[in-house]
Amino acid sequence: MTNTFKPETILGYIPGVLKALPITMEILFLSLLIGSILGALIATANLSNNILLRKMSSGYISFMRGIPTLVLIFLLYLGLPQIALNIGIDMSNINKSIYIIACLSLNTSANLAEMMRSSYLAVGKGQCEAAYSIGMKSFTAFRRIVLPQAFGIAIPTLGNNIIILLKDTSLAFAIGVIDMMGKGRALSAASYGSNRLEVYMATGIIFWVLCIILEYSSKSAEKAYTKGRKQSAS
Amino acid sequence: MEYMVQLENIHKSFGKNQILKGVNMNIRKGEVVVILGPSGSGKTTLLRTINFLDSANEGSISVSNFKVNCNKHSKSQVIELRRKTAMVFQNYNLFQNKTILENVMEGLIVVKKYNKKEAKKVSMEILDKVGLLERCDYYPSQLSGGQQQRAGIARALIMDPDVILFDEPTSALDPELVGEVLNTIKAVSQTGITMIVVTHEISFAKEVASRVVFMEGGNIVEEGKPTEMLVNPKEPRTQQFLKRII
Repeated sequence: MTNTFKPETILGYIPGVLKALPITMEILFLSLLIGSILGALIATANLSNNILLRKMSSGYISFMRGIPTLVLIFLLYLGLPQIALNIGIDMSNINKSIYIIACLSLNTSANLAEMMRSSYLAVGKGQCEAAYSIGMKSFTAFRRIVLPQAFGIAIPTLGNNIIILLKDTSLAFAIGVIDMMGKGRALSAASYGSNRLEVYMATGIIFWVLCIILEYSSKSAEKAYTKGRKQSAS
Repeated sequence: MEYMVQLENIHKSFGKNQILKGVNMNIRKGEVVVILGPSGSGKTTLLRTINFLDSANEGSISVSNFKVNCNKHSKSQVIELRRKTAMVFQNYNLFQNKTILENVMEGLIVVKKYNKKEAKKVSMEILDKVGLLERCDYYPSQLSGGQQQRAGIARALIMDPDVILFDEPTSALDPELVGEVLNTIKAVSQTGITMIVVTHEISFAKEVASRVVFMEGGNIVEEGKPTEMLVNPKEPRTQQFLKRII
């Protein structure tokens, strides 16, 4: 068997794969946005005094963190339309990207909820009490004192979560969405797999570079945001 | 009514643990009341029930004729009461995300609705009084404990409260920093503001207090003028406590 690996062609595939970058970014941003909103609701429920709300949110977090993203995608993409059809709803016209965005939002919301909860708790009761002691209302105290501090604490974890989410977008290919991974597969299939090693290396390099950019942004955001505030944390 | 602060029959429990067992206290305008007592006696809890950081289960609290019933109070009543009081905390609790100046200005801007320029002017004056003018652009984590606590005092003072509550203001400090904070508190006491101070500093109590209160087991055991109370306590429990601490 002859060696068909042509490393010099790897870079040539990058522009082709990058054509699907907007799709990947769209999935990333929408999932992050919806996941954050969901996560905030779940974190609020988890921190509330209501036992039922606390148990429900803990159960949700446990389930979403325990189930592999790919399984969730198949459950939602294959399972949900089947159940919906039984009650007379036809889901076959729904865009596949929507399933992916829904799955990733659900999945990341659990991680983001845990991040928000722990950052909130890390701020400490004394900060709130001090705000109350000078006559602030509880929402004002949250907005002006607790939230800015919790956000600073959350930045590194948030960066990490975004990186995980970015990599998870590649699972979209599993149900035929043409994201960057899907595009790579298509390029490979077009030449009957003869160039698949090079194509997937190109795809991997793109993801890696994107992650490096995210990591760098997260570090500089943390530095800029917490400047002078908590020296012990860094 | 001629009293600035009136506490009537204050009861407080945490779960099954009864901390305050019906405390009564009347404080006149301008009085400096020092509360002494062993740990677990309920002195800090008593202080915290006054501004509802812990809400008492029973009793009533009134500050400059604004009375709140402890087992039947609304959110707006609590906020109103908190705006008549201010607190200095054991661990300073300065807002970590704000500079010293911003810490002091915060209440003026958010609660008293000053504009920024006015707030800054008044804040600088008060920071000057506590000797922190040069440190006004520092963050709390960049200051010593004594400096942080003086900033905490400035943050409380600027709200122009009817009564100012000190919760063991020097307990978390290095011994050599205690003096500067006590001097600041002493200066505050000379302005005629009503103060309630929980502390273990007996010599400070002797010098500054107009009344000393000894608490144990959720009750007031004895109270009186510092010259009488600290020198010739009547109750055996007070005698024992003072002997141990001095």
